[in-house]
Amino acid sequence: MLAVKDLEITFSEKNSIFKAVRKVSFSVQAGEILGIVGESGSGKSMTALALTGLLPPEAKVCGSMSFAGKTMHFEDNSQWQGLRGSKIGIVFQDPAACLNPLKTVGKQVAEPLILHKGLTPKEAEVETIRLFSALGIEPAVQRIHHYPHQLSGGQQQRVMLAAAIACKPMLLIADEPTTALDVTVQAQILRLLHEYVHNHSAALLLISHDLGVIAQLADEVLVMCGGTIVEKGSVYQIMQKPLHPYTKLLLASLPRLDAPLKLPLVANEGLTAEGGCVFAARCPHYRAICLEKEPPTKLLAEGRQTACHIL
Amino acid sequence: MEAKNAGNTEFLIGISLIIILSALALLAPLLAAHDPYETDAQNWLQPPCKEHPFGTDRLGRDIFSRVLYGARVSLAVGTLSMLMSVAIGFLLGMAAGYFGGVLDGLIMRFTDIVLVFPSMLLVLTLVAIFEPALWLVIFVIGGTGWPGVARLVRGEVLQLRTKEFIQSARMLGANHFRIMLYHLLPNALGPVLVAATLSVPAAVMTEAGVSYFGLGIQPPIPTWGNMLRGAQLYLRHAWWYAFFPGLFIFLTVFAFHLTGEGLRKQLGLTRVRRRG
Amino acid sequence: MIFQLVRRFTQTLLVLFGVSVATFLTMHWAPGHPLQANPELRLDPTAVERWLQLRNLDQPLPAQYLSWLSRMLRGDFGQSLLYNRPVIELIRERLPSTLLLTVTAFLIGLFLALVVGIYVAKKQNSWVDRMVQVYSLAGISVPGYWLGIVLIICFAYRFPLFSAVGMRTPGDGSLPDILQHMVLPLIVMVFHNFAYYVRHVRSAVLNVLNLDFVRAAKARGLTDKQVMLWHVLPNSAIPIVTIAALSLPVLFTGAMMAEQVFAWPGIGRFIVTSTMARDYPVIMTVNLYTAALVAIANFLADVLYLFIDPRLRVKA
Repeated sequence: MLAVKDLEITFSEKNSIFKAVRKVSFSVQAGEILGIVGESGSGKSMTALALTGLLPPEAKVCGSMSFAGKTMHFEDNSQWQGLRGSKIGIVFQDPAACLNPLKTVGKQVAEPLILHKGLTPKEAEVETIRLFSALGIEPAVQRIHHYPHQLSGGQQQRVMLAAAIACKPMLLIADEPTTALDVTVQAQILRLLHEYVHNHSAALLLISHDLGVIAQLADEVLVMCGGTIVEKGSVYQIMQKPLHPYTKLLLASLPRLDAPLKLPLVANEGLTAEGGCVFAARCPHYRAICLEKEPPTKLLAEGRQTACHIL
Repeated sequence: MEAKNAGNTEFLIGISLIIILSALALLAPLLAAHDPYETDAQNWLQPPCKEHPFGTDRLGRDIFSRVLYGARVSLAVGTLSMLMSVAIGFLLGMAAGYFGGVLDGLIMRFTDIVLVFPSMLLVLTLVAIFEPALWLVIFVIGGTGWPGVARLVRGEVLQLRTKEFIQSARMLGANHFRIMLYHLLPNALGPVLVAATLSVPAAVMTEAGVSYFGLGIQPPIPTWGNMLRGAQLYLRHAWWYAFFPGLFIFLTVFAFHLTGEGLRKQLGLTRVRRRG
Repeated sequence: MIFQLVRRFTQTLLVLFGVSVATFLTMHWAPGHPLQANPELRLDPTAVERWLQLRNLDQPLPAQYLSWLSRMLRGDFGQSLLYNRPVIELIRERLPSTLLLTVTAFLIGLFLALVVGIYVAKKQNSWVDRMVQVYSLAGISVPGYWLGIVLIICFAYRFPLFSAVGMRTPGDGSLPDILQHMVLPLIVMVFHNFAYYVRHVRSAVLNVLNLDFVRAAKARGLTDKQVMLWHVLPNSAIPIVTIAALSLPVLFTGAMMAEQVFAWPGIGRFIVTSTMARDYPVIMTVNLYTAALVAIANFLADVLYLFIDPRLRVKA
């Protein structure tokens, strides 16, 4: 349903060029949950913003994506306007900052309904109440008149989710949707995301730095590092048989009850891997070739790939 | 988001202008070809020429020389009253923010009271009550220009007061004076520096205005403001008479505004609110 | 909400009280006793006593203050020493022309600043934005009276397009006549106001544009225009209202300069003339009422915030 091809995002300042995302390609099917995992700065949030045409204007984007039978080029920013909020819904990390403090939450959720579905404000209010009840924002009839600061963090994120799914988008993008929330609330939000995908056979792009969150929800997983996809596979393959040293590092950093935490902390000091593998400077197994050549993406099986010289 | 070197150009242009203007003021006796008080009845209202680059005024005095000597007055008023404003504002703001409570309430209401009088009107009134003189103008502008600094410092101190490093300094037994001097002062310095820079042009502008209204520094001492006042009757025939003194007021005020704005951007501060 | 209103109201009352006391004491202690204005009185001790009694000047200071305050509130501002007429009459004659000039300048300046400020905030760091930034610094650096003088030299003498003095041509006073007299003073005031407002509008809008909820609103499919109207501008309103309220003293100073240069028959010129003549009743009345007006404007701005921002309406 969604196929992204050769997405590249660069930021250039006066005399330096920074590639936030380098030639990334992937696809998601309807009813599928694709997890993107990686540390901060790995380019996963930039990817999400690119898919919605919301990158800051100074970013230069190349590549194309085909979505819902249409092929769009990232260079042309005008095509996303009609998709946002109607065909593509987005949930961001910090719900408190993502809600306009001066408008009631009901009004904000009603906006896409009025804009995309052509509902009257009255009809939109009824629909908003229905959405709020479905997402557990109770008592919905009163909640719609509340201002963001009157809600808890979990409730605020539910409101953001309500706005994102109000028009039943085919693609939902959740960028660190639970990072700012308490652990108990995290699970509830994740369950709501899962329910939506399940009930509407929509696709979900779940972006997180937390493998634990990804493991709970995702079907397929992309591991990103330094703006490239270093490994891809089903959630079982990634969790049970990680191939890339970076994925192994991420897994090792998960706290476990049955074994002591052992983090292979490596800093290959003085190494510059300009033009080589993005992970070489921190890789415990790096070789000379890693510093010189970008590792090619090896397709190991259907839906299973990695990019590493050593394997 | 503002780039890292934001404000650099403004700062450099502004500070260069300030240096040039200060040099002109300091070296006035060397640069001025004429005595600013020397009248020459035969050459009155001469347009700019080689002998008198800015022309002569109604008494035949060399406007260029008078503008240079006027720079001394303007910059002296600007700097001295800025120092006074900053000192008063700093002390009151620090006391209000640090001790809080009733003292804070009293100081802030007092600040509000001074703040609701338009500064030009207040200075004009106070100067009118007493005899106009250079020291009085400095004193009055300095004595009324501090509320902005006081509010700013108070705000900074209120923010800093709850920070961990202040708490730990207090735990270690530092007394109030020590905390204010070594912990609060250095941290509030950036915003105060910007406010100080921006209070110079305000003072220069007020002095020039009051002198233009005829209540500031009195002739024959040359100031840009009273030169403009003198020129008012000769606008039709001698554009240079009013043009050059005003141009220098503008350049001076603009230079300090540029510097302040550049500093503000470089320090990454939000806008400092000023009064008119 | 009620609590905050009451709190701000009490603070404003305190400020107004302080303003009146300060004005009263300044007048009381100012050198030059009112008696000296009437030299012949000093010859007769009983006349002096009667004179003092008539003006309550034999009472203790607090009583004098109270009777002075009640007179000020009733509009009895005393006699002008310069014109020998009631101050209230003199002010009433001059207030309309000042209001005409100042309100027009305020509205034009604010309107231009909103349009241009929003535009350049959207085009941050474009060449238009840079030009506006330079202008906004230059505009607040130009002394109003000097700009007025330059305009007079250019457009009243060199190219006689507009009048340089007064508000109307003697014997005329039609609307076009007043308008053409207004042009130059308005340019002087707007040049300064616009510069003052535009930098604040720009930064107010820019600060909001960088907030997360703007991106979230775009993510819901709102167009840039809708985002600006529904989300950005309401949030920029508080700093803009603050600046509009705080600019009252700026406007007053601007009016003083413009009126002085163009001999505009308003309060600004009146206060300058009165200060020159040490006409204390006039000076003190204008001081008291200007300061009170500024205090009240600030209070009203605070009340307005409560309506704009629900976060401030917490119950305490």
